[in-house]
Amino acid sequence: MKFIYIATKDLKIFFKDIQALAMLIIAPIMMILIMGAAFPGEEGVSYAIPGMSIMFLLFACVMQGSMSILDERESGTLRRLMIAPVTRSSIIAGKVLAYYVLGLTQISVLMVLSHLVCGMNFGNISALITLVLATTAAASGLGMLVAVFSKTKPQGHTLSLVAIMFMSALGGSWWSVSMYPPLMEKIAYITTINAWAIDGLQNVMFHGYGLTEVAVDVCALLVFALAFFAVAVKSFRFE
Amino acid sequence: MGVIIIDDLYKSYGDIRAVDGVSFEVEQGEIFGLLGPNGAGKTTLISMLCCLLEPTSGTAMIDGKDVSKDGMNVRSVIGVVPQEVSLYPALSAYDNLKFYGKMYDMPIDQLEERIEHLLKTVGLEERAVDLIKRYSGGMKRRINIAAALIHNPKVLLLDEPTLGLDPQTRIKIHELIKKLNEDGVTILLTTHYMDEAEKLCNRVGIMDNGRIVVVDTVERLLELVGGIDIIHVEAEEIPSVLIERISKMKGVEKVSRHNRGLHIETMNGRELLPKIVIEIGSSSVKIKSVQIKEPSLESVFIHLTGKELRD
Repeated sequence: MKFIYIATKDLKIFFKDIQALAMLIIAPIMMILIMGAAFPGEEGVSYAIPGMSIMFLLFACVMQGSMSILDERESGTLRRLMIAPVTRSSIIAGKVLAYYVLGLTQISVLMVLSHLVCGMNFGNISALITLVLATTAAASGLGMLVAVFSKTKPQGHTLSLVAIMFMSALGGSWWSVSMYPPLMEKIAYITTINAWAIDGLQNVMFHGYGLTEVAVDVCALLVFALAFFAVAVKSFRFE
Repeated sequence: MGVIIIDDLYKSYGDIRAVDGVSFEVEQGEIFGLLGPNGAGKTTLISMLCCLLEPTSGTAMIDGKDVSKDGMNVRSVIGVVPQEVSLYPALSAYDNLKFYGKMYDMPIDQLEERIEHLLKTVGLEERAVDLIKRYSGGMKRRINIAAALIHNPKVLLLDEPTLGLDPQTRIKIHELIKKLNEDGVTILLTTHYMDEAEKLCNRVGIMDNGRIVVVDTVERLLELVGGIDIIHVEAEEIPSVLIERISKMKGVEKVSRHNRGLHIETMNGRELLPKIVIEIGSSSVKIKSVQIKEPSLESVFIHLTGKELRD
């Protein structure tokens, strides 16, 4: 139960932070509204939405997630939690749950808005939800990994930006990885969450794929999530 | 039997012994002060008591529970006030206290009563819903203490509770600590302020270089230097010959060197002072300041360690 209290507290703090709210919720909403207004009735614009959404998801889970852990460590509240009768796994689970929920909220808002404004198809709903859950898990794992490998908040901020830009550029958030030379495309799938998530989402939304047809994408995303969490939990520093 | 029992406790980092064979007991209902300069090992000791650091060897028991083996239960009976304010600035005092209360599994009805009581105790009941970031430094410190008391702990550990505070806020914190103790809370605090230890503590343990030099009541410690004045001379590069000459002067009990000059212990400071100034003046050493320190815990510290607390 305590991890739920920790997550609730984090979400409460987040929704009071106008700056974070602007970056993670208002900016993506603005982007969808602009796309909808600039290209009315053009279905092709929907193709760009999965890529953009995954990039914004990385901002929520990697940037906000790592900042939230580093902030708690720097301000001494993490130490205070450790002095209370709370297990370390509850503390980590609470922190991760907070930005997992935050990421899910953000991507859900984006998807619904894209459907309403740009007429984007959801495709198979269970496949879509499974992909979104797996992608958010992988992004949350990356957030924790960034927090673990950063000593200070500014360092975490820079590392988050580098990770997000790397994943988004190479992984096809800005252009399709199918345009890459074959080796480059392979590298994109081996090293980025985005490549799998975008591949899955586009296939579900635009090519009518179901859950079994995107199982490979879901599995790949879960492998990313597991690998990130395993390394991060093992090297997590509380002080 | 003591509510805190520390027996031959060690904490080493490589070759450095941050805590070096510390043993003492704190009785139920006592305010016990750990007095020592920065780097004496006080915070390391407190960190072991609140189960954040594993001792290298030795044992520490709080309320009959071993800090190394029974961490979860130790954490339930202790409240810890960290040196820095450790609160969520974006949440109100009420929300901070409520969150920490939930971390101690407090039932919600009891928790609300407790929060109300604590806010009254620290005198901030009218600011309960204000965000912590809008509080003054002193107010934050008071909520920081309240957060440590949320689960009604038997033992309160305070690490330098008034470090860097203005005199008025310090007085308020001192009053609060006394009040909590009157309500039955056993308190262990670390400080490097002499007056804090003198004002608040029933007993004081003087700590230096990871070791406890002495543990006793403030009165008995003062008796150690009963009648002794300490003349504090601040000067640069005092030659050993001069120190030797001063040691041989009539009425001088002990001379020790510190990094800014000398401490001269004597039974009659006022009489000896001019003679010492003349003696030093006759050499090439330039005196920056001379001061007589009346018997206090500070003179006890100098007497026992040959060092000043701020060294």
